[in-house]
Amino acid sequence: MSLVANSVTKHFITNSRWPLKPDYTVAVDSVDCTISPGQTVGVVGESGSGKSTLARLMLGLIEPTSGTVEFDGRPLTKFGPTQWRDFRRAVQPIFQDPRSSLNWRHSIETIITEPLENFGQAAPERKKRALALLEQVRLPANILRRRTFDVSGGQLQRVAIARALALDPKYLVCDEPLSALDVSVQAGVLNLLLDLQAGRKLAMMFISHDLEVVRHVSDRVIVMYRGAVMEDAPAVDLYTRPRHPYTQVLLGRANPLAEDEAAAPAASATATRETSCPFGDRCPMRQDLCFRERPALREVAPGHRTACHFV
Amino acid sequence: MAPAAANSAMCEVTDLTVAYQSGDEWLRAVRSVSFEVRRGEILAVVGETGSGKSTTATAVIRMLPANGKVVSGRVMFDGRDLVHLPSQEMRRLRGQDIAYVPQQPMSAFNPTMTVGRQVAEPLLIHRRANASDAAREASKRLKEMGIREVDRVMKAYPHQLSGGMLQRAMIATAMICQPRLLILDEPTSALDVTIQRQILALIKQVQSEYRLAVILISHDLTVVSQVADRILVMYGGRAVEIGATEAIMNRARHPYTRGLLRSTMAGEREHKAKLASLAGYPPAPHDVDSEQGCPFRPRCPRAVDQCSTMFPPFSAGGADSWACFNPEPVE
Repeated sequence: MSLVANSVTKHFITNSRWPLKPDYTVAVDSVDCTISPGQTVGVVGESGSGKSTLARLMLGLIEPTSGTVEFDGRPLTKFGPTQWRDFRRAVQPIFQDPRSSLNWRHSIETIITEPLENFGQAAPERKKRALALLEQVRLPANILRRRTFDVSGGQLQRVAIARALALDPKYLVCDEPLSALDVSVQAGVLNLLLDLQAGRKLAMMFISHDLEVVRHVSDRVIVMYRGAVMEDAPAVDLYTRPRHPYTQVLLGRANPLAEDEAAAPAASATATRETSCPFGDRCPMRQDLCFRERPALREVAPGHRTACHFV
Repeated sequence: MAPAAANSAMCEVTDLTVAYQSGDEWLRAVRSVSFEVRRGEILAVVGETGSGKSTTATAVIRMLPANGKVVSGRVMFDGRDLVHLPSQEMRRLRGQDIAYVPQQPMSAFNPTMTVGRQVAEPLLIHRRANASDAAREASKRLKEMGIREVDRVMKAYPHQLSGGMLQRAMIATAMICQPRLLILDEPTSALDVTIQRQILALIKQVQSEYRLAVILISHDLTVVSQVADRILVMYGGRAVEIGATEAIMNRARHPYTRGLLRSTMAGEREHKAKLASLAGYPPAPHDVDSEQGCPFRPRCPRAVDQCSTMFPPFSAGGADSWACFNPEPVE
């Protein structure tokens, strides 16, 4: 039982003027990712690296262009209504900005209890459950009657967490859950997530651009660049011995080429994607080979995979 | 620190109070804030949403939105009080002696003009330069900011450039008239980590080359500590601690500063261990205005009775100075 992405790829069409062939961006490029029960997989990368698209694929919010996302061994695309219900119950999202992901027309109570209602719980039970959830996320009970705009960002993210927990999920997919929050409340929300994870044996996918936070919460970490996995390793390994040049750049242990020095054989163009390294144009270690042949992910140490010719 | 200390203040803010109109009432967002920036130093102003850090900066250059006003206090620059300067003279100073780099380079540029034209614009206005001289100077500045493909960037429109590139161009624009005071509002927070480091290095380089006074506004204490000489910490509209970067990072005395430092990820810690966290949430605008005592009191583990009756006075000088009745002990 686990949530698995099997070499998923997602293209977004950026321009489809007939009769031209549509242009598309490769947002996620043959990514493999397994979230096992109780485990936290961290995903890091800069903006545009495809982290959020991967999250939406794992949640079944969008369909992959190729590859499959499987839950308990069954691809999401083959799901019927019942299986979708079970899936929604088991896998819940937490998004970056609770102000835009939660419905401001609803009271906090409606927000938290709506999933319970959808899954057939009676009103008195729902209320009881909502109160219990609030206690778990350490919010006062009187918040139930308030609305999103009456509540601070930090409190609202706790509401989003309570909502996600309402159905006792097994998996949480958290897309930048801290970055909209003030620095002084981030640690509190992070502690809460760590607590819940330990207490309920939750599995998490934790997406963030903050490398230190990801290091702290994750068992495994996936490093993405332009939609592709550059490195995939146990958290401790990745931070103590980063192999891929991009990971080293991210961790501040190497300098990337400047943006305009990087004028390279158009590595981003879809035509050359198959034949060159996505990071080639900014890589401080690049060589000719990087633009002739795309490095495949290969194991360089037990459980530690990286996509670079020169590691 | 040492060379800066020999200089007098470039800009001195005293007892600055700023309020915004909201409905029928005026709510103070910045209350009695005082600090100075000296020539050749970077002063970082650090705080969360609603702490008043951006308001302080926009008040200094008199670019508060229409519903904001300076209620009291002085902003001395060059022996003149900017708060009461006629707006025509203020316009002459702005962009020439005092430059401002707003948040979000993406939205600060005019999308309908080329970047080159916008970088050169201050020269056309302040120096009455002719277009070709201004353009030449603009490319020189862009090059100084570490941009290699100057010609392409000059002719490009903002949407054709990356965020890091635009931020470099923005700093070039600010620097083109050789200002003495540069104010940067969250210059790195919209950027990716790798670019962030490059922009910080650029700010440091420009600042030391021109012996600029810089006010660097940020929400991230650990980021600014890499470049700042001194740090001013704000909370709930008040300045709560100010000191040399080294002192703030290692020996902060205000419970808020200490709490922030404890809860960040800096340094080694045990995997998945709980972080020290501050209870509660930052105050809402109403509470910032009405607070009689210390705005941090509701969240403070060290609060004493006195804290609710008045805002504590700042401790006397030294490398670090704090506003607290019951400061954290020296570690």
